[in-house]
Amino acid sequence: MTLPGVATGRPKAGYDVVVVGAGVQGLATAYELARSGVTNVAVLDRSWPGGGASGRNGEMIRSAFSSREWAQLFDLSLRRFSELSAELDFNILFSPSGYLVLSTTDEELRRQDLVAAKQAEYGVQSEILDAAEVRRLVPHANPELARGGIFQRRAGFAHHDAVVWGYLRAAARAGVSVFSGVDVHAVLTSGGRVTGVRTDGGDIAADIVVNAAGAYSDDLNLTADVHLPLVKARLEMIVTEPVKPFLRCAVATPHLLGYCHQTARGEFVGGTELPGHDETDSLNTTYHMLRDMATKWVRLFPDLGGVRILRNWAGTVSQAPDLAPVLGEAPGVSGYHLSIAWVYGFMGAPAAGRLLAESITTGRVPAVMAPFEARRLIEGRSIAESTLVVTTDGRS
Amino acid sequence: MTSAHPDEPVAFTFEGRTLSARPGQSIASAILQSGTPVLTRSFKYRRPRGYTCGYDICGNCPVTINGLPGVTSCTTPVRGGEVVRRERGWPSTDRDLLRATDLMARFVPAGFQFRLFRSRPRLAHLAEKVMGRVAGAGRFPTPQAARAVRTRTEVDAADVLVVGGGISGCAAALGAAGTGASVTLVHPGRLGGRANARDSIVTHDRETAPAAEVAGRLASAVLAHDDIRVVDGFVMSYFETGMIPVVADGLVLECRPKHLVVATGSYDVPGLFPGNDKPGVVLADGVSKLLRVDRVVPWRRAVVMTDGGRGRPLADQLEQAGVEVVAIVVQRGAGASPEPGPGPADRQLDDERVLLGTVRAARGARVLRAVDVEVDGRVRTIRADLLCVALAPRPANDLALQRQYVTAGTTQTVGGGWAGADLSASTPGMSVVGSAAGWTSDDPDRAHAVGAAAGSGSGSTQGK
Amino acid sequence: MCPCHDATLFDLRSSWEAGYRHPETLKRATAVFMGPCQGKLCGKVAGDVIAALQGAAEPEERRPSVRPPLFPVRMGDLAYEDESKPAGGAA
Ligand SMILES: Cc1cc2nc3c(=O)[nH]c(=O)nc-3n(C[C@H](O)[C@H](O)[C@H](O)COP(=O)(O)OP(=O)(O)OC[C@H]3O[C@@H](n4cnc5c(N)ncnc54)[C@H](O)[C@@H]3O)c2cc1C
Ligand code: FES
Repeated sequence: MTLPGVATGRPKAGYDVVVVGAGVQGLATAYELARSGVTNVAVLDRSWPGGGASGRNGEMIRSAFSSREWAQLFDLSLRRFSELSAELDFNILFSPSGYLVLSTTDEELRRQDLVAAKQAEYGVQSEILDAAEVRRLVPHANPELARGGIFQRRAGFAHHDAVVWGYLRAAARAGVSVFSGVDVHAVLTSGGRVTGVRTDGGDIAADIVVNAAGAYSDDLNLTADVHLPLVKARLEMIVTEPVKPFLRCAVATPHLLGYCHQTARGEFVGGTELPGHDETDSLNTTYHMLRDMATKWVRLFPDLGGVRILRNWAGTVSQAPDLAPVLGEAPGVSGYHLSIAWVYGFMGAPAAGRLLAESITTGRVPAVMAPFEARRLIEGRSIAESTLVVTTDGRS
Repeated sequence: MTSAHPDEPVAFTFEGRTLSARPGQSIASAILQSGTPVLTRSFKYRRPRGYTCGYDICGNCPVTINGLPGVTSCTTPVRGGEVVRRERGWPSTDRDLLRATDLMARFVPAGFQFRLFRSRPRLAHLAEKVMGRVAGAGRFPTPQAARAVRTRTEVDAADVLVVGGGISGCAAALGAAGTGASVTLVHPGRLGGRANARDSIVTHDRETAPAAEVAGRLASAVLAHDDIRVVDGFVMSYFETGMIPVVADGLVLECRPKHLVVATGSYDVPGLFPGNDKPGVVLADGVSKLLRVDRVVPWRRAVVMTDGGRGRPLADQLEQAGVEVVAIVVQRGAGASPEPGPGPADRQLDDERVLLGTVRAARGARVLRAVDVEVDGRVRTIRADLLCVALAPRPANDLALQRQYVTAGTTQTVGGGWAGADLSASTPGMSVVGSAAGWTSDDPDRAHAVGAAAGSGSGSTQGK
Repeated sequence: MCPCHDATLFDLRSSWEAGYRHPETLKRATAVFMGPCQGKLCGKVAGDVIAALQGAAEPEERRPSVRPPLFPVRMGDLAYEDESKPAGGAA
């Protein structure tokens, strides 16, 4: 046992559903399956639950995106976040302190009205802020960079481990068996149908297999002969010593490719990226990203120059070319479901888990989920979302 | 820089008072000397914290200096003119009304926040906010202080990088430089490190002398050597591509040596008993440093706790400084001394101060007042204002571990790492020397030889 | 026990009892190893306690990763003045 809620003993020879990966995606899916009555479910993880990106991310949550697809999916999630503590009987420390997407360039300033108008159309409430309003909201920000922004009041952040632990315990209480230390080597198929998984401890039969293997989801796909254009990417973050509360809301800056917030304890937590992706599954951090983070955060919040960085860590995700998740049954293998290619998979999990469970139990794909199906990648379509702080190849 | 002779005293301001100090003496030692044992408050329960380790390991002594929070006061020398204040505590660090009692701590164990307010998210949010105010209160740089933190970046081209300038590091640097290799030696503060405060006897070049003396000689030789660049700073980490950045005052040095010598020494190990974080509970090297390097004696009655051979040398240092040592508690089942120097065995029973027993608690409302010692099933309370914890140290293996992560390609596959002994072996491109390698006594000649091998192995011997 | 984060022996034991039985999960539950010292001070003792709970001489699992920086470092020390300088330095 590695965590409360993790099963002791070994997995049975078969389950109705096997979920590969006990990250926030796999656990949310398993929990929602159990809630809708499918309890003969095993979640298998080779590491400890939350040991992947789910325990290493920036904890940020919003639904104010620029595209209908993203806005609607993530708004469902955001609504779930505010009810999750009570529902899971575990305080996930959701902080609805607001989420600010900074406008820094002329282009971003020009577009912000349009973006907010679209959000209103999709049913996502957001506020357009001018320079003075942004300065009032984040008084420590460099006025040269904080020129405007879109603020979503209901959004914010939550404790990533708490979300994982909450789902884990609730799923276990509902009858799901979560195993840690079980390595899945392959997805077994026969005649276009999934039949189970091969693990280091032997084969486990299942008519439904969910791939929620995070950075390693593509490796798993290949064993089922599912070919999607995914890459592994490493993301890095820093955390500082606690300081007095100086940053009320979560802040993302597409221009600097950065995202940050201050935790309740006073630590500043931030991550940045560079154009292009860092294609590796190493969890080591790098010197050049550490300097990039320091440079950008000091530029945005000059007072942070005098604050000490305590730790620097890395996590890995898998990415699709359009950076949108892949959600739904895999093309060509019935019974094999995907919840992968998550770059914003922490904030997306409560919705994704519910939608995927619904599509598995009812056989119908909910409308909000449909655009994210894998077929789009095979057919070369992409979902255009302009407010992300991650980059596709060489483009920011 | 620490001067060799005590110069004119210098003054600095501590919370409105003017304190005087020898230049180079640490800020923490000067505050202690002024009769203030509580340097900060802990993060969660606001427990009083004081000088503990002396070497920027414990995080119990940060203060705000000239508007910059989180300055390690035990390793920051007084230069004169600083404005120093403590950080946590309301209304003051001395008397904190928000202090949780030990009893309360039982009701807020790790994870309590996940149980509270699960169905009252708004209340939970509010509680979090209050917690944040309490935790970070009083800590934020002034804009001027923040903007003054600036560095330039320079590439260091040395063949050999020696990390740590104690006896072993200095000897290794000299060994490497002797082969004609260019050497950079990184060390925070005065060269010599922990040896500067030790009395153990070291054999060097077939002669024996006290460690502090040998350290001084090696340090002078290093400083006089043309091919050794000495940087007062610390290594940030071992990164991919072999990048080892060094942070010094106003400078980041990007080192990518052909050979790395890890001479990072050891960490003192704390004891595990209630109250082990009370001001007045001080680790052995921290005690020695205060007495010998900072030359401050803020205690009167000491209990020394040991598991091997380090107790008696510490007791001797304390007595020489005029501190009464009332007991030397030799923990039962303790092994042999893994520490430098022959030092007489602590178990010597002709000394009536020696108690074969166990420290059960450090007592005192705010600072240490007494130590509970259990001997033969009976607990005695011994009055003392210092509990010197002189347990066997452990190798400072962090840098060597990080190099293993890089070699392995990720952090997750590198096993062990608890004791550090597993890293004592040298691998291509890296040698570990001295107590970082688990050597049980200072051996400058051996470190010199390892350094020489590193130097000639680095492939740039010009046959000097 | 871990003075950086006020983690007590009681915390470690009760988290263990509750089921956080891996050094990495214990670390996340109690915050040992996550303070400014990153286990320089508490590492040995934490290891001993975990080993004792496991009934072993040394914990069965690896110790939690030693993350950069080895000593806390000010953000200003690592910020390039000139933003045009490509982050990446001499890489
Ligand atoms: C630095 C960083 C910052 C981020 N910031 C944010 C943010 O602010 N907001 C946000 O919404 N998202 C953020 N993300 C993204 C988010 O963390 C991920 O999208 C999300 O955690 C993905 O969850 P997951 O469950 O799919 O994957 P993971 O959490 O990675 O879980 C996958 C699990 O599968 C297991 N596994 C893999 N292969 C196998 C196998 N073959 N057999 C058995 N087990 C296997 C792994 O051990 C792992 O536990 C960030 C990510 C990183 C790295
Ligand atoms: S860090 Fe200063 S006394 Fe330990």
